[in-house]
Amino acid sequence: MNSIIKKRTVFTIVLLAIVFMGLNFWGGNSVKNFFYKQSSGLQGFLWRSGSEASFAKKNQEELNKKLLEENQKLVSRLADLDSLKKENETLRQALSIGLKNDFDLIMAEVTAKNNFSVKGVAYGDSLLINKGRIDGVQKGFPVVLANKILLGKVVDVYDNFSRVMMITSKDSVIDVSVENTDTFALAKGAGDQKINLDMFPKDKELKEGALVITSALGSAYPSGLAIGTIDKIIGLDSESFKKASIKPAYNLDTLSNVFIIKNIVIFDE
Amino acid sequence: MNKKTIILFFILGVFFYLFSIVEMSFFPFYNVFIFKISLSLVIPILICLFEEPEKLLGVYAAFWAGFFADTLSFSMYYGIMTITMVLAAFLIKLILLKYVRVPSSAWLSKIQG
Repeated sequence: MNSIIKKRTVFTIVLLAIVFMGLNFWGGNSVKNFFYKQSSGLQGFLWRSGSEASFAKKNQEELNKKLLEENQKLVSRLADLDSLKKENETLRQALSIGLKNDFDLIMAEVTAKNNFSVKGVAYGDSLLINKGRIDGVQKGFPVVLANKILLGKVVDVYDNFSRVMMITSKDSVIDVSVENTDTFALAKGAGDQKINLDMFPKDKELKEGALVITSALGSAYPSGLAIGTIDKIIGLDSESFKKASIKPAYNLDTLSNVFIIKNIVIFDE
Repeated sequence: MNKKTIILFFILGVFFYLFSIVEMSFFPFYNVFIFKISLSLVIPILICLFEEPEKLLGVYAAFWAGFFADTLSFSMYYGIMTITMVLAAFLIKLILLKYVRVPSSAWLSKIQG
C-alpha cells in the first residue's frame, strides 16, 4: 500500500513537472492572461482601495508638518518663478517638451505589485498593468508617470496585461546623469523600493538633493526622465567611485495611472 | 482521493486564489510583516509543520500556493514555484515523519494514548 502511494506521488510530481515545463514553451502566457483577466476587476478595486487608504493614513500629522515647511519655502520661491514662467512657456512652445508631445503614449492602470522576489526566479519590485499585446505594448517599452518620472520598463507582455520591472528592481541598471554635474553614472536597483547611484567619479562633487535623470548614453530609456533625488552619499574614501542612495521620484501610495512610451527604438541589452 | 478530499482540494484552490490577489493588490501598501515574504507561500509550510505528517492538506496547500505564485505573481519560469513548494512540503513531511518530533496539538492524543 505504502509503495503504491509513493509510486503515485512520484508519478504526480513527474507529471506536474512535465506539464509545467510544457507551459513554459506553449500556452503559459495564455493561462496567466486568463487568470489576470478574471481577477482584473477585483485587483483594480483592491489596488485603488489600498492606495487611497495608505495615502490617507500617511497624510496625517507628519505630512502636514512637512508640507507647511515646504510651503514657506515655496512662497519665497514663487516670486522668482513668476518671472521665469513666461520665459519657460515660450521655451516650452518652442521645444515642445510636454510628455504628450515627446512620446506616443498608452495609458494603463496598475493592478498589482509583486512583493516576493528571488533573483533569477521571480521579479521583485514589479507591477502588473492592464494593457498588453492587443493594445500595442511590446517588451522593453519604458513606463513613466505623467510628470516624466521613470517607473520602469515592460519585461513581459500578455494579450491584455503586461509586467513592468520597476527601476528599484535588483535586475534594473540605468545610465543616468546627475543634475549640475555633467557626469554620467549608473542607477542600480537594490530591491524593496530602493535604488542606488554607482560609478560616480570620485573627483566630482555630489550633493544631497541633486536630481538624477536618465542619460542619453543608455539605449533602453529616453533621456531626461526623472529617476529621483540623491538621498545619502555612502561612498567610502578607499573606493574608486562614489556611491549614493537615491530617493525614487515616484510615490507608490499614489501610483495608479501610468504611461507606456511607444515610439522608442529598443536595442537588445 | 475521496469526495471530501476533492472538495477540500478545490476550496483550498479558491482560498489561495483570493489570498494571492489580496496579497498582490492590497498588501503592497502596508508593511504588514517585518520581512518581505509572501504569506501565501508561508501558510502551506506552517500547515505542513503543524498537521499530522501522514495527512496531505499541507501538500495540497503547497500546490495551490505555488501554482498561484507562478500564475498571478511574477515568476520567470512557469511551474518553478509549484514544483518547489510541493517538493518542500513532501520534504518537511518526510523529515517530520522520520526524524523530528515537533510539539503539535494534533499529536496530543497519540502521546496520551
